Amino acid sequence: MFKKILIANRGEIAVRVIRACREMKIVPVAVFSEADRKALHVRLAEEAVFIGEAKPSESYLNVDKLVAAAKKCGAEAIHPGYGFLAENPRLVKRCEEEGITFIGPPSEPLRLIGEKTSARRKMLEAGVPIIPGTLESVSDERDLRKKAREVGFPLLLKASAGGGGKGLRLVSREKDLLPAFKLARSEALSSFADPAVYIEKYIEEPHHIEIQILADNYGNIVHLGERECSMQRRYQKVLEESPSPFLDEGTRQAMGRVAVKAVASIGYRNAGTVEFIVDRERNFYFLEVNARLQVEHPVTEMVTGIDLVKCQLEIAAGRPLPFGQEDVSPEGHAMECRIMAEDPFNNFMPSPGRIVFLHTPAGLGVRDDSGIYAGYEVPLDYDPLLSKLITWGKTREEAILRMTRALSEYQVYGIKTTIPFFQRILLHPRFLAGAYNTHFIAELEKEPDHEDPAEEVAALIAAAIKSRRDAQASLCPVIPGQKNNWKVQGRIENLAKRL
Amino acid sequence: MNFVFWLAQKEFRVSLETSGDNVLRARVGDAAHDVSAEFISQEEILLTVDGRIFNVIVHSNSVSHSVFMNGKLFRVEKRSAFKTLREERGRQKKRDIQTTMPGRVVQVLAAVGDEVKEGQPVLVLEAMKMQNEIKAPQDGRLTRVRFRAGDYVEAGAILFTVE
Repeated sequence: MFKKILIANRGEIAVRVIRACREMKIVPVAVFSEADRKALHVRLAEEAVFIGEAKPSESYLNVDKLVAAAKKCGAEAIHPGYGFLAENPRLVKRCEEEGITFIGPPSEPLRLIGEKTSARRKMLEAGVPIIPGTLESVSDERDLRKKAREVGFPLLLKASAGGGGKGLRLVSREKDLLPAFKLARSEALSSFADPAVYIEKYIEEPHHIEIQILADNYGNIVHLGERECSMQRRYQKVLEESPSPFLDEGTRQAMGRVAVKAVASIGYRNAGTVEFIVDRERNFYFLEVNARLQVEHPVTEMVTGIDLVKCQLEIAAGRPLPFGQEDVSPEGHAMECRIMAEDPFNNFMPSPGRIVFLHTPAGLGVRDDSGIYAGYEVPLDYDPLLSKLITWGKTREEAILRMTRALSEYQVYGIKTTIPFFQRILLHPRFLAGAYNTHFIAELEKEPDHEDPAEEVAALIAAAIKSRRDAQASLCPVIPGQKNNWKVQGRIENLAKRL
Repeated sequence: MNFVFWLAQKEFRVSLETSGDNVLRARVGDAAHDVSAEFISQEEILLTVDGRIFNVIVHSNSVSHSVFMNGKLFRVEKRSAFKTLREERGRQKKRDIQTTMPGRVVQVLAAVGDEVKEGQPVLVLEAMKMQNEIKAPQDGRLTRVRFRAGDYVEAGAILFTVE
């Protein structure tokens, strides 16, 4: 097993990997940018290497700096987390050249699937069902119009190098095609350093369901069940659960088998996820392979009891999978809420800033994978994910009630978060019935939000109590040696009134 | 003690009087409430209103109290400051477009002097990896664009003005 590894990421996922390292007696080395000098992942690591400016291209996206950091601290392996360089063949290639183990798939399968159009061609060859659309990326505007007409509207423009909803646009009419194309290309360029986009037919009322797989270096591949990821806002997953309330056992098994076939066809290794779009009739189509640890991996960990990060490290170290398909038996129900620094009452605008107060939930079946602490300043340079709250229950109902309870305990003050939005979702009859698809949130946002009048009253009373306290405090004598400009000002004003 | 507050563009009269050990009688409008309050720190209050517990953080400045409760933020404006602000807004015919988030300007889609339609994207702002189109709030002429592509903007900055 490795003695020391470098974690080429930040935020909650860096913390997650650090935790696995600690439990395996591996020395975790963090990297940090200018904006992350005081980040939680740095505080929890054993060693940390500074890698440059806040701008991702100067730090977390910079292959040279990360490889140099690994060599400098003597790390034998690099864990990329998700996002940033997680699916970047250049980093994998560099690691292979420098004799550093990359904790993830080898460069060849990564190259095949990292680019989505080549992944689609490859899957078609392997007999895996794919969504109709272009097999090549589209770069020319005239070509775009012609191809779009062939596929038919509505359609999706997708970043060939993309993932996570970035560089993705839904186009319903031909007149929206060109502006959407330009935005998708510019977003793809800034997120993935590659502007290529391709066209895919848009499936109506879709479910987004993915299968977790693990593959070792000896040809053993297992799947660890599915995650229902249809709860999305603007193509970004916000809540995931396992098992899916939509799937039947037959479809579930079939998807597992196809997922194993898909990764076997490309010589995939380590942890990965095969994403599918499932239509109303439960026909499923290959969407992409996510060649990394997913944000929502804890959901699978909670139902299977398998630590996916530890499995990644074991596989990368050359050990065979210690269990087979027959040993995987998911139990109970798990779900995850992605708590973001966004304002749900103002069109989900990003809300970076300082966290002045933090109370995190605990108790049976509650897990909080977080990258923040009280006093932490959430930078504007990166993804707004603050933490992932995960609950497990014997049944779906118990998992939901536990999540509702945990969210009511979760207090993040100083910035705005999506916690109230989840509280709304968790009470919605359609969610409770498990009858939702990827359109749920867009429809929910059109419904009026129920206000709790008692909260407004309590807020006003709290303000009055605080005002009274502030007024009293300003009358207090100044403690010798302690200078307080507010008190000084208050006394001046009081004196002025008396004169 | 009596207070006049503004919350969500409505005026509220709130009064507090002590009615026993650690017990307060609060009036909000015409309704009376039994209240107890324990200060846990300078800004953190364990509040009980009519028997229901609220964990509250109140962060105050000279114009308002920011009350955080159950994951929500209530901005309770102190009377005079809010009034001044409203009067000032009333005087303005032009509309300044402010950003509520800090970020980087990716692209400016219109130039000073252009006629813009309501809902027309004027610039693209990127924050936390997402690009957002900032749209004109009304029909009119673009009289000022304060930033160029590549500029960083602070929260609260005026991005452009439509008259």
